[in-house]
Amino acid sequence: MTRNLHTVLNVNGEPRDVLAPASATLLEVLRTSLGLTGSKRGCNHGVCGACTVLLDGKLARSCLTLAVDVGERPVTTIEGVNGDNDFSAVQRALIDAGAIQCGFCTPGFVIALTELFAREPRPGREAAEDDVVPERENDVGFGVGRVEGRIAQGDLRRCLGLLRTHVVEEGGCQQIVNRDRGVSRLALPPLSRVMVGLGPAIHEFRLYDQRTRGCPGLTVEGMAGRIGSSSERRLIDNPASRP
Amino acid sequence: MDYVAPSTLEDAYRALETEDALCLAGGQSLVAMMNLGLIAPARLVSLRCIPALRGIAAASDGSLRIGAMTTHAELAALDVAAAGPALLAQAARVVAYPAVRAWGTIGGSVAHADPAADYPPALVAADASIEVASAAGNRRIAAREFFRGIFETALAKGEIITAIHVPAGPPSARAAYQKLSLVAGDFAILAVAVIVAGSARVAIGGCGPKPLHAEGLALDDAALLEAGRKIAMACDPPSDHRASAAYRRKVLPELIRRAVRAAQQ
Repeated sequence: MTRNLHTVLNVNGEPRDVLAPASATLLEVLRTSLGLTGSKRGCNHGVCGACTVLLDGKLARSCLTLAVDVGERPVTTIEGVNGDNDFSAVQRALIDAGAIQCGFCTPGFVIALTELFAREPRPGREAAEDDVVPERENDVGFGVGRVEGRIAQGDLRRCLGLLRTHVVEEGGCQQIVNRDRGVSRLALPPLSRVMVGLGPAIHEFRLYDQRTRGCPGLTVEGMAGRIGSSSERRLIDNPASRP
Repeated sequence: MDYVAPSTLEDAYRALETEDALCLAGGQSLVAMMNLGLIAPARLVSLRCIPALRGIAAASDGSLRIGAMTTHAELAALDVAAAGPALLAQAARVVAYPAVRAWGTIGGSVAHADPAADYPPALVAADASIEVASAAGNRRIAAREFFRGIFETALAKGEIITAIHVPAGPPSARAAYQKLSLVAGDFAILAVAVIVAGSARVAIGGCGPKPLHAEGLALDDAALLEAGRKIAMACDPPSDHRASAAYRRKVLPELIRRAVRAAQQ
């Protein structure tokens, strides 16, 4: 029989009594016990980032945090990111830039950016890339172009609903399979770009085929993918080539 | 499921006597596996409140004793010159993404023993050892003997990883960790950890059920690529959604060469 445990969580500055099974994640407790539904359940295994909260001031996946194990560490959710005030500067900047799109994982982006600006009020591009799009080698536009207190240009790219997308090989070409949506296959024309969302890690691919190496339409152009950097393309095309 | 959060190792040993009890460290793999229905432990013993598992102690020769509950972020922030600890810090910087690095721990990752994880090859290349403890006492296990297979380690029932010991490495040694992954934050398709001191000692992750290692590699391109091809022929890499076995075999020699060059820079 599942036994409920009593725990007191400090959420958005207030102590909250919670009765939940030991296996309940912080995300489940936030959403169902406390009615804080801003944190979203996406992949539920720590990849997508839609459930991101601040735990003791640091980024945390609330789906990978057990509520009973939170202890005294304060939790800040999207609801508490600016106290009782209107939108925070980060939220306002996202709105101004039109960088909301479907909005499902926006709370995760807001939390990640809030943590970044709290730690580093004027982060360089590198810091922003590392934290929000954790990839130093990306060479295509991404969400935080100008980061001096403002989020630029509305090109925050993210998932097209392709969570848990896998690249598979078939008939000499790699194809994208989306297991969650039941869209079994998206055959991609040469040079088509596919954006694969892993939440605050934003990834854009072109497809790449490891057997027909030179086939131009099948080379990954990864915005956040290491394979997409020019050095990795060379590695794939010719393992003996020099970087 | 039952949950306890002991504040001493002795209490933790007792709590682990329950059938199907598991240690909860940072939870970044364990809770994901629970969410996916892959495991359903009867009891979780949280190690979060045990001070003995925290902290990094440096010896005068540059070697480190890293408490098992040290997070990836804490390791990533290390600014160390000695090759062994530097290798580990490099590996820590490419574990998953910031939210996971903030809470995931080296002890948890090592106990989980994912064949594509970043610490196993780094620890093997650095000639590190794993300190484990139970009510019966302590022991230290060399990293290359600790990792036994897919999610399989030398840990006996009731044992808790308490620390990781990382030797400094030879005085002039240099280190590098090269990870090839589909996207940043993912597990490695392949990873190569290398310590270079006259010759190269390499350990490879993602290329089989446990880290591969080779020592005494000559440092010129031809020798490294040839050594890589031999390892590639002899190993048994997986074919999975990240890459085929043939692809892993193909890129391994070049990744080894790059790792050595990166260490020399």
